[in-house]
Parts: sequence; C-alpha cells; structure tokens
Amino acid sequence: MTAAPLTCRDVTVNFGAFTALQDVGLTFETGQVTALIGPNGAGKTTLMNVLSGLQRPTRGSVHLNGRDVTRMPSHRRAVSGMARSFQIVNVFPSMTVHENLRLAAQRAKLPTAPWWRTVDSLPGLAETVEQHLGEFGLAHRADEPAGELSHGEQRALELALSLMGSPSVLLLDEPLAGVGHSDLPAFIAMLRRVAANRTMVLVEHNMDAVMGLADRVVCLVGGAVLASGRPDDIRSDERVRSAYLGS
Amino acid sequence: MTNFRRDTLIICSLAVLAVLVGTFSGSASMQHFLTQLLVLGMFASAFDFAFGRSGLFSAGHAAFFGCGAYATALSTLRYDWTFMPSLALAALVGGAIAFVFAVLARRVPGVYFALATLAMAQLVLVITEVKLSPWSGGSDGLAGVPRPILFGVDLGGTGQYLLFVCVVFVIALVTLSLLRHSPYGQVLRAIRENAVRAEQLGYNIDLYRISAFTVSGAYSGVAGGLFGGLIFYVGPDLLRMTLSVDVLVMSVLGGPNTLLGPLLGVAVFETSREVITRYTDHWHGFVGIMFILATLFLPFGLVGLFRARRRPKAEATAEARDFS
Repeated sequence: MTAAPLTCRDVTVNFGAFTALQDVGLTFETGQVTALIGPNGAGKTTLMNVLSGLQRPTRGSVHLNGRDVTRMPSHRRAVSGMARSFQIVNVFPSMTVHENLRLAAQRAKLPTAPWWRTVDSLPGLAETVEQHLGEFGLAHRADEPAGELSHGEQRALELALSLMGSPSVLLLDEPLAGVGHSDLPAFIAMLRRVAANRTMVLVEHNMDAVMGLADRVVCLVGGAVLASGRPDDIRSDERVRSAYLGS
Repeated sequence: MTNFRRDTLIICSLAVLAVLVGTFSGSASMQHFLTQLLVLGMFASAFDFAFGRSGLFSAGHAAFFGCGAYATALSTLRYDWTFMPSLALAALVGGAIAFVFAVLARRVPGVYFALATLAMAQLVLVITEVKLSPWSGGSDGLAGVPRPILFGVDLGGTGQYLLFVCVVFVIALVTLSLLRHSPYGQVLRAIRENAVRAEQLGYNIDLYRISAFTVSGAYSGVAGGLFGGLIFYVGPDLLRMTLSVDVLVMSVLGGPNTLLGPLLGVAVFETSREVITRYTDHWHGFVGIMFILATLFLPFGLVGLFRARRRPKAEATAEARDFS
C-alpha cells in the first residue's frame, strides 16, 4: 500500500501559553476533498499553515508523499507538489494577469530563473499561459493588472497560479470568500473539476458549498478534532451542531 | 520591438549623446560634468535595482560605492595594479560587502532593513576612516588615483575618460536591463509585490533578495571605482550617509523601478546642485524639499509625469499602492 499523499501526526502548535492546535492527526487521500470547518479560532488556518510550511509545529510531524517535510521550508514544499491559496486574495496586483501566470509557469517549467536572457525569449511559456487563461476564463483580461480584476476573477487567477505547477496536493483557505453569488455555481464546478486526481483540503464557511464539494468534513474546535466523517453524518452530529452549525 | 531592445537603444542613444555634447562643447568642465552624470547614473540604476525592482530599501549604498572607490584606489596606488583589474576588484568588493549586508539583514522588513543597512554602512565608514587609517589614508583619503591606459592608449584626458566611462556605462546599463527583463528579474518584482505568494509558488525568496542586493552592490562598486578615477581622489566622504540619501532621492525623484527614472533623477539632481551651490551653501536643504515634493506629488517620479498620460488611470493606482 502506498503512503497517503498528505498526513499529519500529533500536530501541536503553541503560541506562548495559547494552544492553537492540540494533537491533530489526519490523513488525506488522493482524490479526496476534505473540508475543515469550525468556529473562529478553532485552528483551521493554523493547520493549513502547518501543512504548507508557513508555521512550524511545536510538536508532531507532516508527511508529503511518504516523506517527512516537517522541517522543509515552504518554497521547497511548493516544488514538491503542494500548492496553497489564501484567505485574502493573494495575487501580484500591479502585474498583469499574463505576467502573473507567466511567473508561475516559469517556476513550473524551469529549475532556475535564468538572468541571461529575456523572459519573452523563453520558448513555451506564452503557450502555457494562454492555455491557463482560457481554462480559467481570463483570456479577455490578460493584459489588465491583476489588482483591477473583480474579486471572483482574482480568485480564479489565484487558483490558476496554484495549479500551474500541477500540484498533487492543493490547500485552499476559504476559496469561495468574496465570490459573487451568481458566480458561485461555476466556481464550485471549477473546484470540483480541479479536485479530480488530487488531494484537496479546504477551509470553507459556506456550508452548502462544503456539502456539495467535500467527501469528508473535519470539524475543529479549540484546536482539536471534534468530529470527522461524511458530510451528511457531520451535519447531523449533535456535538458539531452545538459547537458550530447552530441549532 | 521588445522592451529589452527598446532599453538598449535608449541607453546607447544616451551614451552617444553624452559623447557628442562633450566633444562639441570642447569644454573640460562640461566633459567632467557629463562623466559625473554617467557614473552617478550607473550608481543610481544599481541602487534602484535593489530599491525599485526588488523592494529592498537600503540606506547604506554609499558603503558599496565607497568601498569600490577605495578598492580601485588602494590596488592601483599601493599595489601597482592597472586600472581594469582594479575596476573588476571594485565590483567584487562592492558585491561582497552587499552580500554580507543582505545576509545579515535579510529577515527584517522594510524600514528596519534600511536601518540595519545604515548601521552597517556607518560601521564600514568608521573602520575605513579610523581603524584602517594608516592604510586607507584616514580622513585625508588617497590622492592621485590613476585613470586607465588601454592597449597603449592613454585615457587620462577628460574627453578620453568620458569616452571610456560611456563604454562601461552602456555595458552596465544594458546588462542591468537584461536582468530586469529576465525571468530572474520577474521573480524579484513578484517578491517585492507579494513575498508570501512568491514563496508559495516555489521561489526561495531569501536567495533572490540576497543575490539581487549583491548584484546591486557590485554595480555600485564599479561606479565608485570610476568616480575615484574621475576626481583623482577617494576619501571617507564617498562612504558617508549623505551619499546613501542622495542616491535614494535621485531614484525617488526620477521614478523607481524604471530604466530612465534613476538617470533622469541624477541629471536633475546634479544640475540643480551645480546651479544652486552658486548662490547658497545650503544645498542639502533643497535636497530635502525636493524629496518631500517628489514623494507628495510624484508617486512615480518625473518619469511618471510623461507616462501617466498614456496609461489608464486604473493601472497607475495599482502601482501607487505598490509603493505606498
């Protein structure tokens, strides 16, 4: 049996006297979408930070494709097939959409960033960018600065940036936050398409979206796993209802 | 025409223009002034590679410029090196010191980076002026820095030295422009805008910041070496904080993260210095006013005045955010 693409064991994070995460152990399987839910301060984003390497755990370990990456810096995890998006929109605002994608494409295609030739002269970059522009419905905005796009478009661009390196593990922190109501179905469909053959972990507050997207829901409360299971089971779980979902 | 070709054309045109004006004016003081503009233009462009391009706000760039000047002066005067190897040494020394600065200060953000580089530059000044005074000439500096003799041609005359500096200027600015337009330069720009995102794309931001700062230091060192040759002298003034501030003002005044901005900044700055110092000694008071006016009214410097008309307003505000 091959190791799960992403696991964490006994992860504990202390910020001084405050315990943000307490002995969290989770396994994330290929093709599975896991949604992290829980009230504010439950440790959802901290767990995402531990998984992606922005926060080193006080105790415990993280394994990516069977390899211990607990001490591996964030940028090297990114090259090893892990991509991360953020709660707040996170693109390069004064660079054009095309330049944003080109930057990600150049990382995915080249081991180093050459300094002895112009970026326009590199073969294949423009084609890759074009392809992603089409796929994420951004072709008509290619030459606009990313900061000028609508919130939903920036979300799409961000997702496109994350997917450029063909990551096997995708961590999305509130991917639907700020996406307009009318764009929501299309965006959820896009996420579902992206999730195929990948390991996806997402933090999301939109429970309808969570129910539609996730194969498994993990509810965190006070830094510990309160419940974990199929969406329907979690929705009807008494403890989850009282801690998070409300009556 | 690609951006890089356009930049190359502009750089070559400027160099040719300097040679033409220098030659036809026939005046040694004009030639001296033009050489000074080119040397400081190189320095400001090198500074802007760190500041405008990579978002590394340095307040210690005089250390790289000054140490480059001292490297050229000491190797030629004390160890009888010829000019070209000593100019290469200036690049190495400037780069090496910038590397050390960047490694030590790489984790501190924004203004704190400026303070850290300022402190280290002051340390370099004290070591050079006081601790190493028997070797470096102390407060008196070193007089008699030579100019190059290439293939038996003496480039010591003011006109010839202008020609020589023009050639170095073109090489330096074209290679810097290539760096800016390369994939490497794109990463630097991305790190300035959003370091966390760049890291999540898989870029090692420390490595890029340190290397960009080192490159900037090396080019500053070359400019320092050329400056020593221009005035036949190096002294601790080339290491002082005022020079670090001057180069910042030049870059902000002209327009950061552009090819022409730092060059235009140098031209306006030096010309107004020439004019104003005829009437008053309080030149640096005017530098302060210029800096305040530039930051208040010219978010993209003088270059922005020409560009804003051609570009949609939206894009301009997106970039304004960037430098705020």
